[in-house]
Amino acid sequence: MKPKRALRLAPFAALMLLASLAAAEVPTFTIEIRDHLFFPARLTIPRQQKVKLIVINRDDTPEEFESYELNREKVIMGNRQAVLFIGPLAPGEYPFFGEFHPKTALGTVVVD
Amino acid sequence: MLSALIIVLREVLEAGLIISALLAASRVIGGDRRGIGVGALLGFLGALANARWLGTVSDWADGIGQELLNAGLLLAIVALLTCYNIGVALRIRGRRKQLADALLFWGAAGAVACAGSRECAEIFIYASGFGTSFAALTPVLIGGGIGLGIGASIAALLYYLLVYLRPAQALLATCLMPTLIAAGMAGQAITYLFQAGLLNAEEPLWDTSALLLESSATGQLLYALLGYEATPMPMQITAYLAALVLVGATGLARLSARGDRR
Repeated sequence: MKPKRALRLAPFAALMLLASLAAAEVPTFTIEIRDHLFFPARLTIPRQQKVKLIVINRDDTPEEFESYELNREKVIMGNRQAVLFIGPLAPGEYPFFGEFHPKTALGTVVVD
Repeated sequence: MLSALIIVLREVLEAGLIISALLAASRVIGGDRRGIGVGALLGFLGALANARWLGTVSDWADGIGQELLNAGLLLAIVALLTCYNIGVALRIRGRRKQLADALLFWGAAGAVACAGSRECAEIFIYASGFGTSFAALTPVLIGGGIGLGIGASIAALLYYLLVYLRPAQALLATCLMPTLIAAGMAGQAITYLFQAGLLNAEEPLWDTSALLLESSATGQLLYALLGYEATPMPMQITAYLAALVLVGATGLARLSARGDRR
């Protein structure tokens, strides 16, 4: 590879490195969406620790994982999954909801 | 119907406030509005593309493509509003006319296009979940229509508030509004980097959720208007202040420019 091209790739390499460093040894939890409901609806995670959340949308319709308390929002298309990171968090309850089906898609992240 | 109303209102409000601030600014400085129109068209097309390929984008970079795209668009808006402000200052001074026109046109077009691509995509994705059945789409369209009406009304109200100010105040206000919006977006971009796991989240500096919930109507309006966040983290505040200084300083150049001319 020519040095110039390698230089051009450097920012991407740095980003990937940053991403892999950040993702290292992070406990992972999974939430599923089925029929516009979250399973589990209450998810317990450890306190003061960064956590990787995989949200799998088993419905054909899109959903948006949203939480004001966690400051997170992410669209998940039908039959796809999304990755997002939360925490470290202080003990407490952090509600989340599916913005596209806010009446049924309700859940809580419990930190203890 | 209610969730359609809320979703459309939230998204329209964010894009609408930028458009009304830019429309007011172009009226105050006697500039043309074609850039804003071009931006709205590009934003609409961008939103369609974003909605169409969001699933693919989300899978990029180990599943954080959506966050990178959103953070990129938000930071681009901050940069474009800065360009726009420099254009305003140049125009008022009557210097570098061609550069000023280009900055005004592309600053406005770019900022509106980026905001539109981000905000309207969510509306399209939401609506796509209801398929093509008339019975399912009707309440969504009615709710969305009402949301659009309320959002557009708030944006229009702000526009008229801005243009009916006395010229000196209008000049200050049309500087202040995009500055606050841009600062809020810089803070929001940092939130996406937390969400993507690229930055490590910190302890929030304060918690004002007892005073004003982000989910309340006022909270949402303040979120769109000045990036209100009940539990901001130090890095978000740093980004907020940095954008405030950057966009604000270039915005205030228009005021000193007025002094120059006298």
